[in-house]
Amino acid sequence: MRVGFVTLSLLLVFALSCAPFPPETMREVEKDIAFEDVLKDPGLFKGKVVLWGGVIIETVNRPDVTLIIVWQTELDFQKQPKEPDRSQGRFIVRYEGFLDPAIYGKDRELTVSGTLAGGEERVIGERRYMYPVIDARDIRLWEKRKEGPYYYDPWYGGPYPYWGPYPYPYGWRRHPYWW
Amino acid sequence: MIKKIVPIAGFLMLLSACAPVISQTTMSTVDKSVSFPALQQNPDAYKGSVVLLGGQIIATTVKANETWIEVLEKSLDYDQKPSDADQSFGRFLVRFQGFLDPAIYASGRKLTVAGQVEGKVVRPIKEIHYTYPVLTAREHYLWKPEDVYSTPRFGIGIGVGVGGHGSGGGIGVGVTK
Repeated sequence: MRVGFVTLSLLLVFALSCAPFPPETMREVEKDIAFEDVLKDPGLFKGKVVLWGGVIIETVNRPDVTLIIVWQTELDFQKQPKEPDRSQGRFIVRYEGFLDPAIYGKDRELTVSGTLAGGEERVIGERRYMYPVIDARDIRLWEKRKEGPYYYDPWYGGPYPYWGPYPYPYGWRRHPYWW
Repeated sequence: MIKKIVPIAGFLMLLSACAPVISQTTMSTVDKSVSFPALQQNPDAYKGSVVLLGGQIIATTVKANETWIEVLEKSLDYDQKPSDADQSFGRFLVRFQGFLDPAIYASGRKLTVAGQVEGKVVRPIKEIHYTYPVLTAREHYLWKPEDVYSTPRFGIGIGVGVGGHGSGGGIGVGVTK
């Protein structure tokens, strides 16, 4: 009974968590394109399809488009942003249409696939910063983590490891000897 | 086999939970005799010394080729982590080469930094003139927001898990840096 439940919830997790992006998009994505290279010269990579993610800094609504300013992070195995402090820089997501800044708010995590559209220079403090711009195709806004983007508790919600069904990196910590 | 691994793993956890975040190499250059109150009294007297300080970020300002972070000093614990207490001996400024994102180095986050004393800067705070000691950063560590590290809050089982994982995560970053 117990085993059955665990297996079932694991299966469910697998089913729910592993296909956030359409396969057509995933096939087109050029995995070899490094964020830092694009950041150096966004113009060079125009037209390439990438899958990037990060944490929202600000969402700006224009008449026909929404711009989401994001700080880039690495993605985990299910393409969710991880380690928010290890960013290589910022980029802008351009979406045709309206996305509500009340939902796409500061500190929310997002993964986006789309076509690189060059760069846009903006000012941060006294520095001119060239943001790579990506024309969004699919955007996935991730559920808020319980404690914000920094919270990675594999125990989240209970003893069943449904947060990360596969390579379970903290497995050995589950039973410290003093329990 | 398992019986052997578990205590060793536990011991490793304990050990690494106490690992300082600033590297040995940098720490060997730090002048530990310099206290923050003394430094603040007369920053120029310590010009050239390398000190280890920490605190809470007040503001991050991006300049053309460098980034300045204003910090509210807090005492450091054995992990070199700034304390939560309201007690502070004052503010200081850290100058970093290049760009640090103010969205990440946000107000309220904790920072530990080893840097060389450069002198002082006087800036107004409301109606007074405040003398800030200025450091040039050599090595720094940005702490993850509090909740990750907090002591058990979610009940016994999960609480302990959080503690273990929390410190685990911290070390991961510290070592690879």
